[in-house]
Amino acid sequence: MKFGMYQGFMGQYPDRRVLNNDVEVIIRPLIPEDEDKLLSFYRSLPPETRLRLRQDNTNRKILQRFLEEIPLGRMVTMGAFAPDEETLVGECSLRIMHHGWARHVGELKYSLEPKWSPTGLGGILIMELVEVASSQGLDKLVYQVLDDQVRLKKMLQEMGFVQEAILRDHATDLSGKKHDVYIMSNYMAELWRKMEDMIMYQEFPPLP
Amino acid sequence: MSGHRGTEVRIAGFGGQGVILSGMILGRAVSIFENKHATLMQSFGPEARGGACSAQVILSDEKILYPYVKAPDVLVVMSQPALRTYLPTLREGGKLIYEQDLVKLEEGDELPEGATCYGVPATKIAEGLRRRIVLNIVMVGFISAVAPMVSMESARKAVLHSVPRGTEALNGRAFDMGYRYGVENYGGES
Repeated sequence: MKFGMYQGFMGQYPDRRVLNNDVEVIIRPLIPEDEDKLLSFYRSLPPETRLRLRQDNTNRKILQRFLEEIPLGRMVTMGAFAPDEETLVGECSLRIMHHGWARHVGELKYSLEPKWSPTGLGGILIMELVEVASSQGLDKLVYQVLDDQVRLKKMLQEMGFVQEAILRDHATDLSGKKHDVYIMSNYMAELWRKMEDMIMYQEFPPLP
Repeated sequence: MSGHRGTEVRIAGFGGQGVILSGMILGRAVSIFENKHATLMQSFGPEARGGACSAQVILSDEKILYPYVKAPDVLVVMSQPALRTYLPTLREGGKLIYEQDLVKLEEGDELPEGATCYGVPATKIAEGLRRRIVLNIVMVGFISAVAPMVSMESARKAVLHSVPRGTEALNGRAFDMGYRYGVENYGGES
């Protein structure tokens, strides 16, 4: 793999995961050569899902610009493939700035075929990139959630994200409807420090 | 396993490995999610981090009148000194569960009659998840597979209810990997 940012974790992939419905999927980072698979994936999404895409990746040119970020080291994209190993059923992307005052912050987003939603695949993809982000030394992750993405918001909260801000009428979906955007943040280092503190407190309680 | 007293479990290792949390999770699984009885006693040496640490857990269908473990049915060790100290106490026919990269069974480590051993590379599995701190949760998953005292579902639920919010997903995965290692290498309950 020629992309610097991928080198630290590429050895672990492809990885097979068994979902809640006992179906096995293959998880691996995506590269620009996966363009056609990604395009088919985005175009297969139902209109109600496509409405909420941050950008219209069903357009090949827009998708190409999105994929150009990978070799530049500004993005890691993890894909989930159906058991046939060819059909992409979900993707999750982590964008990293590397410079400027937000160089310690990564931004996540993901898309999934709705029928895979109840299988826990979304959580698996996000968690995968949370760990990649952690291994890249990022301290904080953000995710922009639209006001009607209630399940997504709940899932993020279960993964340690907290609501940090609301931007009123900040997003216009593909139908032209305005949405509030919730900024969900995950302070990764703090989260795991809590677990360490809990263990230390249990095993070395303060003297009475 | 041990008649009317229920099942006695001792989990031992170094301080900071999550020994007490492991015991707490087993107790919580039984008492909260299976509506039975459990006690937990903990002890640690006067040393700072890295010193000896042990949890004594008793799980029973009936009220537990004496909470100390004398001869565990299940002994879980995560350090060599813990093996040395507690192996002689393991009950005949009991189960020894150990972290195989931190604990080596050596000549002279005599197992009680009928006892069985189960090793798991819990540290390596936890490091594979990029969080060494979930070592104890991998162990709980493994225990649930090779020495099931509660259902896997109750143990998993207890894990998710015992860890800080936001760490559930990775801890759940650590549990699953420990459990899967037990099932794949030892066929689950023996």
